[in-house]
Amino acid sequence: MRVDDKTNASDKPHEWSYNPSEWSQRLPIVGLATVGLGVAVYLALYQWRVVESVWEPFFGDGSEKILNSNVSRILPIPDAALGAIGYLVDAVTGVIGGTKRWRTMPWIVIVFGLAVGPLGAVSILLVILQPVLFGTWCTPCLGSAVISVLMIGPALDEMLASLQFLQSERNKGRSFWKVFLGLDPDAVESREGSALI
Amino acid sequence: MASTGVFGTGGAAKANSVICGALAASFSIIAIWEVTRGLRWLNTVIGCWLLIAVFGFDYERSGMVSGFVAGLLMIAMSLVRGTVKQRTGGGWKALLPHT
Repeated sequence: MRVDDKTNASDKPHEWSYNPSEWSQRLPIVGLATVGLGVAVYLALYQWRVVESVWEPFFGDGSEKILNSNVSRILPIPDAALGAIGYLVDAVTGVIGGTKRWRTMPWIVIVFGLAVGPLGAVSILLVILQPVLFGTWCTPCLGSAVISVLMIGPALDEMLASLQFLQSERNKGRSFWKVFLGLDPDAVESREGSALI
Repeated sequence: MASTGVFGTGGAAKANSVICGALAASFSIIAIWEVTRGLRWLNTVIGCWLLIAVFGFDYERSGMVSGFVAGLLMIAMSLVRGTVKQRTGGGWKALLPHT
């Protein structure tokens, strides 16, 4: 067993050339989520008027118009606060688990992927609404949208690894839910043998 | 997207440009990663749509040319697969039944 290797061969999913659960794969996403969280909290503080004015270098009163628009207040809490919650979930679910989590705890990987996806989708929707409904742009909101879209690609590879693993374990007759929740010790170990050949 | 401001495009044409632009930019960013490279095909679709849409919506001449050229460039660039070096267990196709 080459357990001393920095990247243990058994950590890689079957037929993968890299391990998507490695820290070098996940930490950049967590970093992006943290930056996004900062931006969203700042915008939410403005929407709650804890901060009096908002940064807008290019579009005059664009940020003010967008952040005070009726769309931003459809829900009980300002939309930026909702975005902050989304980024927080992304960061937390990105950090939880070790470098084998794609098979030891698929549920967190799936939650992570599902949290990153819709956040990006809502961001794109809000970007489209800015010029169409209000005729202006909000620079920090655009920055936040870019961040949330940047996280989608790198988060989905890990989700793919987990989905492939769940499928192959189910084909072996194992319980989907046990494997999904990481409660099937045989499934968790089953990769070790095959990957070390 | 920028063309709507530059040429003063309005109405449904503006909405069309902004929606296509935002979606295309997003798909492009997501398709940077190998595992989600397949999203480039959505940009091929948006490019084709733009070639038709510039004649269907109320674009003025400059906006029409800009949209048409953008559509052509998008189709051309979305057809380039780029380098795919990593192996990902057969990708998303592996999740389909009987593979």
